[in-house]
Amino acid sequence: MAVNLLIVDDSSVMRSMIAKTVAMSGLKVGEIHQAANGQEGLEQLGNHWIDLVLVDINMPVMNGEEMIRQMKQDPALRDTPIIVVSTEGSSQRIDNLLGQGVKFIHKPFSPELFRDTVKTLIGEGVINEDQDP
Amino acid sequence: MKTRIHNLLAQVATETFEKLAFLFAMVDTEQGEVPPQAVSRVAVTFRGPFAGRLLIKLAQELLPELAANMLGSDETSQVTLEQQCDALKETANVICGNLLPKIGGSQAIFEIDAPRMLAEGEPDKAAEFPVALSTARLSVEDTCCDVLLFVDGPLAENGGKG
Repeated sequence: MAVNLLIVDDSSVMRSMIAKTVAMSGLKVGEIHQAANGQEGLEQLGNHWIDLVLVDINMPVMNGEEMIRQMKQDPALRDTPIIVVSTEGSSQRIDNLLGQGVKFIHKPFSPELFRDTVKTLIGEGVINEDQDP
Repeated sequence: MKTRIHNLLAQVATETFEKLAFLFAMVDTEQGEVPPQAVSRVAVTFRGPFAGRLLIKLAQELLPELAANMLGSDETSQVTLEQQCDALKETANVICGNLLPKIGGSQAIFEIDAPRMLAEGEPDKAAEFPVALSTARLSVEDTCCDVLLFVDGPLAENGGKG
């Protein structure tokens, strides 16, 4: 099964980095969609079938926490797997996110960490095991 | 406290350049003025148990390599100026985001603004944060880079306001 991704980050360079890292991690990637803030991310979720959301926290217009909050209130989106990719260092904020069922990856990150986190979140069937990160 | 913050600033900055952009960085013990070179400057303002801003002054000649490395591109000539600025802003964002919990503790909550490139002629220090608490002078791929931390007052040993 190939996974359709949505990458939400206000830095275009970081979005490209994440896309490249995900490809290196061995994840079977289908379509990759991008958004520069939470509001754009929600619009993309309304327009495309997304299997996995990778979202930053600190963004203009709508931050990642608000985007996740709105996803969790929407019956069509509440079960979509989410990985937060952020520099956030507050244990309170991270615990709050983890309590909502999302995974957390701290920037800077490695392909191995992506692979392991995706495996934990959506299972091993989406990983090419013969591809070393 | 100042020595601890200086060491943290240098450690986080060197690790970020290496892990995020695959650039070799080390603490430069040389002091004084930055050697004559065109520099790009980016600032990140933050608020929390203490407020302030982080400023990076990086040699402009290094920007294409910084961006190309982050993008995984072999060709620095294909990197746009916008991507170069975005790469420097993201580097500042990661340094700031990793530094603040090390100073203020993992319980501290900081609000970090979007990084901003400083215009030519704009001073390094903002009016509300006039004094640099610490400056880390790095050598990044043999170019000089200063990372400065400005805060709005003295800090206590626990990382809160003194």
